[in-house]
Amino acid sequence: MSADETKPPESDKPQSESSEPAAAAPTAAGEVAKPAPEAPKAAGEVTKPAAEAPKAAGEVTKPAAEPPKPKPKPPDPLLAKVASPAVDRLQAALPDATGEPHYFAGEVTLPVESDRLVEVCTFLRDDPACAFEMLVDATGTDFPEEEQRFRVVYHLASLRHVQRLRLRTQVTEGECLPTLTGVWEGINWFEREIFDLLGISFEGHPSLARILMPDDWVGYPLRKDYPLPGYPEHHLRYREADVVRRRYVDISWQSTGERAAGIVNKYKGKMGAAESAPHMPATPVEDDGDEAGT
Amino acid sequence: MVFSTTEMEINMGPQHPSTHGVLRLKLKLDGERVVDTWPVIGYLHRGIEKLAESKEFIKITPYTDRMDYVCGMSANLAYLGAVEKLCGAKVPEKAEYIRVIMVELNRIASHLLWLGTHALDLGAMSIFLYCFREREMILDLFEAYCGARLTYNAFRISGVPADLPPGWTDECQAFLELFRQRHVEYQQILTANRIWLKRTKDVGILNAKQCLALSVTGPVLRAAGVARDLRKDEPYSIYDQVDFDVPVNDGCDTYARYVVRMEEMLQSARIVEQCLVKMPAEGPLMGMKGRKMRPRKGEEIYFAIEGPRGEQGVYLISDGTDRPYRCKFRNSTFANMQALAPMCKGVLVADVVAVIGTLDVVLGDSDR
Repeated sequence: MSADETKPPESDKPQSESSEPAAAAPTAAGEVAKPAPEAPKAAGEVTKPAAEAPKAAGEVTKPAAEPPKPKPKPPDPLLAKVASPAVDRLQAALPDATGEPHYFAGEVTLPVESDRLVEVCTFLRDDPACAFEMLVDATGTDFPEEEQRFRVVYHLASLRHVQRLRLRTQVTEGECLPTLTGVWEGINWFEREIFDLLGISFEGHPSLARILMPDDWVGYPLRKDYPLPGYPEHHLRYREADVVRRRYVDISWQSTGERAAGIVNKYKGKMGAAESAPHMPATPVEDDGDEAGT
Repeated sequence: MVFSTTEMEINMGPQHPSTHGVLRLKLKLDGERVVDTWPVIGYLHRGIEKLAESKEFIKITPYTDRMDYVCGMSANLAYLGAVEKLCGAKVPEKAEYIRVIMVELNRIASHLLWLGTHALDLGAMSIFLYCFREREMILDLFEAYCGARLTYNAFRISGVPADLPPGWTDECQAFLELFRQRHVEYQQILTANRIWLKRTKDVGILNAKQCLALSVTGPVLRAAGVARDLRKDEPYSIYDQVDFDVPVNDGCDTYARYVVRMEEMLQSARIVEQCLVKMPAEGPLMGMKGRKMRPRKGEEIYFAIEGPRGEQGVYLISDGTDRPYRCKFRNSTFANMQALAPMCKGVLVADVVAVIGTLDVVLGDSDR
């Protein structure tokens, strides 16, 4: 079991080493076989879990003369390719619409250019071999460093064939994505959410309004440059200025003041000392006792 | 004589007893009939997805309880399942059994809360008290296991923190036995009750085609005749080792959803009973001991479980650190609530309450 538990950190390690110059020892064993003083430091730097440290120290005691032969890296089971009939079918029907599929943990991600999105989605929904009747989820992510800033993913599910597919598209700031409300009606709120939290507009959406944040909110909270506590000036705005100025529409046949007066009259005489002295009574202890009694 | 009529717009909520939280509906009415509905959500938005981006994987778990506060165990399981899938972590068998027992008990508790409040909204007061009586017993069981009654944080990445306490299994067995009898009583009160039938039959119709188009999942979809249950379709955890049925009804109305949820409670009880017998007596509870998660850089995964309200999914993007680059919760209430407007079309104002109840909305779940 202990071999399994250290899998995730280990699988990451060779990857980070591969970015080093080729002169460095290519395998994990080679790296640990450095002079002994360095070994503990290295173990700390790589931020391995503590459980792995004794194992690394044990390997250091191996004879250093052993040639660091390139150990064939076992293929990561997470990266195994999975069969996806829908992707094969789509690539056969619309060969230039999608990019290379990416496989991870048994899931398929298919990059699609945003201008082919509606065409691809309509095909995936209507083709009997794909039959993605349901859009499960749609969401976006902000990558400020990338050329195309936003990445939007659509999770599709086919109930008939019990399969899933993720479509991924990218869009730059200020550009629109085509809406998919014509393909799956249920994407409506998901697109509104993406608009609300990331500020991506959807062309042709029937009612693109904010959904989770207030209608008059400034900024898009899920962007990476939006600070976690929000902007202080906005706090002020929502604490005082707007709330004080906000006007309430009278919905009843009586004005609010009249209604309030009516309520006061109704309870007049039942509230004892409170009606004559709405503020703090002069002698709180006795008055409190009276009020509780009446 | 001709009366001039105008359409009227009124607010229902956000502080309305039948909206189960803070849901505001803008209703456009023609007399007593609903012409159009515009749900306004977001009153409980706490920015959990934004918060999650600044926290380690392990520290996000308590936040998931607070989204769907009626069924925190399911939210825990969905999130942790996603993290485990991203990291390729293994969960020991015994921990899986404990997780499934807790999640299924929580499904019963969630459905009991739904049944009580839904019936209360429609005027049946007594069943509310009965449902809370049994729900209390489940909460006691949870308290004995993890110390919490509502926000459990009961699981950890790649396992559970503790074994079941001594005597817990017997108490659980006793509860399930009692629950079966009590379930018969609920049925006696409601199933053939004339008022109940009048209030629920042919109210809030949503057929299978509409459900699929609107991304509606869970009991609402199954009450439209579609046998979609992720526990069967895409078995996670140990659901492929237990025997249970997926209740389906093709009534498409509020009554059909009542029948489906009632049957689901019995099926959950069946699953728990099997798990209590099949669970290995000994075995590890945690699959990994390290605290740091280092998933592969730039990968993304989506993991979904069958929650009490439908598909409860989590989408994660990793940047190679121990924090998620993006953590999106696909909560069932958010998607299901889109069906509110089509279901309310043409119903009476009093039946809007029935429609909200039958969707089993939890606003913390939709607003995040």
